[in-house]
Amino acid sequence: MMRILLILLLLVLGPQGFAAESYLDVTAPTSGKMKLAIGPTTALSGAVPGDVARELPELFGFDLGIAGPFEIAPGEAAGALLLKSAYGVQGDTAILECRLVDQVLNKEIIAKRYSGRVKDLRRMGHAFSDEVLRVLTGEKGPFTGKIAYVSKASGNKEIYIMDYDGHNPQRLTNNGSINLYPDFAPSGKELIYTSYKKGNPDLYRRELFTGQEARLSSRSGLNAMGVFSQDGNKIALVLSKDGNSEIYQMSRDGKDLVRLTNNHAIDVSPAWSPDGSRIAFVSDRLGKPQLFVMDANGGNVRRLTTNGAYNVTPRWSPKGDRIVYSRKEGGFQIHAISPDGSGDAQLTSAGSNEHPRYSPDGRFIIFSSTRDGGEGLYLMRADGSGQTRISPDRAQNTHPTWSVNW
Amino acid sequence: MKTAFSRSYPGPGGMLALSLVCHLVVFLIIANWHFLPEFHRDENPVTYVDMVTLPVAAPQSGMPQAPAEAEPKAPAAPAPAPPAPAKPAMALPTKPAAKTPPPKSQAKTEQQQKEAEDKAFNERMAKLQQSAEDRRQAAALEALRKKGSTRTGMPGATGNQAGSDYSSYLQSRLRDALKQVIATQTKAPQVIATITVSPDGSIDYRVEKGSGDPFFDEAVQRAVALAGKTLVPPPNHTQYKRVFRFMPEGVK
Repeated sequence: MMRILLILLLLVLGPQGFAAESYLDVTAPTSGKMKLAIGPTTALSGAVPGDVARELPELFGFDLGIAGPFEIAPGEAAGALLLKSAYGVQGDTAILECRLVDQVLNKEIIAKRYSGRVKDLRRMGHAFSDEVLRVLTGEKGPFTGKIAYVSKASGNKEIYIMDYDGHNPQRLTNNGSINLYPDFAPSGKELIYTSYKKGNPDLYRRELFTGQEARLSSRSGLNAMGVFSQDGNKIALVLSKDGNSEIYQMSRDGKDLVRLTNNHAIDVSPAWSPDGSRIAFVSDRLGKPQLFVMDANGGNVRRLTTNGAYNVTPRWSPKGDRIVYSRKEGGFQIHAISPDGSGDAQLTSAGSNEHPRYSPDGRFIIFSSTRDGGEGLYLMRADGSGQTRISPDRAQNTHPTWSVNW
Repeated sequence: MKTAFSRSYPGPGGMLALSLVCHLVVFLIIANWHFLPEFHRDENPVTYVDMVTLPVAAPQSGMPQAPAEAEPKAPAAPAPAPPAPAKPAMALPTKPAAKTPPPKSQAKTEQQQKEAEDKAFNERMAKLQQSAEDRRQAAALEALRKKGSTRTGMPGATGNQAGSDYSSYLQSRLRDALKQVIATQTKAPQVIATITVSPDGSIDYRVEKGSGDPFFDEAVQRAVALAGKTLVPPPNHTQYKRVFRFMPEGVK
């Protein structure tokens, strides 16, 4: 009886089980990118000024083109998502209405209405680009963040700030001295940098929205290369108060100084891991500058790079899976390596490329390069693709760093 | 009486022969009652099956049904559905009205002016086009019969369920749609989904196994929707259901 039941069961379920496995394949070639069409900017009321009608589609095209996952398609291309924008002015307030539409499913994916000062139009556009990335990839874009950098546009090395795409440059320091190594606090509202404005290279912290400034470290010798920890409560920096540059950490107020390295060699360029448990740095303790990683308390030092004779300026990716740095091979080239020392990959090849920093979301790396003559700022995706110049001028621009979204 | 009987009696041999003839007649009658298949005349049931399954083969053949001026395409290339696919209207606030019909009065005037001159010409053209269309359809029908005779008459094509041709047609439509919308973030994503096509031609799908790649999962959803816009209903207005596996080309 059981055999009969079993046979009947197989007869009933067998064909279905077979059918589940015998699927038909549907394949198509792919570049991996999602088609995205940028529609023209229309008017909410009145007419759209010519510069706005031109500027907004260009902005969206640049943001989302450099982002990587999209292929910017012309017009209302079949199968493409469509980004639509409409602009209007009411009194002193500019209004930007943006929509992302799925033309295939005939549905609106996201719609936002921004209002603000007319001069903030680009910021509104970048904010919508951030949202497009968020809704399609699950992770917000970094386009409303700011880039701080060192520029000689005024003749001296001053700290500047600009949009991530090189627009709206603005000078932060104006002391006629040498200002170096800017680094944003995790909030994006404060910046630390080293300045020679009082003769000695001291470390300063500036509140960007109030302009208030404090000198955090003015010990004899070098007070430089300060970097905030991910929680913003600690600063790792380089001091040479004892004659030899060593790595220290202190509180964000400049107190509670703790020495992390104690070596006869030069130890510089500290970089926090995202979880704050480790610090990568550069040391020539083995003869040539190489990357090392230590625990946040200075213990458990181990060598990271074994290839190349001159490796400097490490920066940890926000996800903690890669460390980007510069290697001197004639000129400098940017490489990325895993924290365990594996997967070393060269990302640049043209010109000399230095001072790499990840964007806050880890999608991009910003760096300085001499590839077009002079020293300008460039942007590339974390895999090295899409290298694009973003310098706002032809002046010498170096040491870029990218803030979180404002 | 005895003499007459003796004259008509064929004798034992004759009776035996008569008996054999009678048995043979009965045997042939029985044979004609389909008890013996080797004697059954073939009444060509394939004709019936072909007539029923022709709509199934039509999409696969790639013969567009609606546009009269369309050239017959190669059999391998699937054709769109008979009604010309209308562009989906985007009923969104910021989109200006896309349709701008020409002024009626102007069109009417021009039409009236040309009407007298073109009437005869149009009639001749219509007849020629109709004739050409009839010939084209007859040729296509004949080609389908020849092509389909090895497929549609197969056991299992009972005429009341979707055959393998509709699967090929749907596979082709999904492939064309996937080409337009495919996007990936991972190297080898795969989505396994059950596709259901209702008797009215509307399409639905259920993901059996996602890829874990949001771009590709989304692309599959959009491909199904895109294919569903121009889909021919399953044959005989029955529901069609089958499992498909979506993946980028070259992925194993």
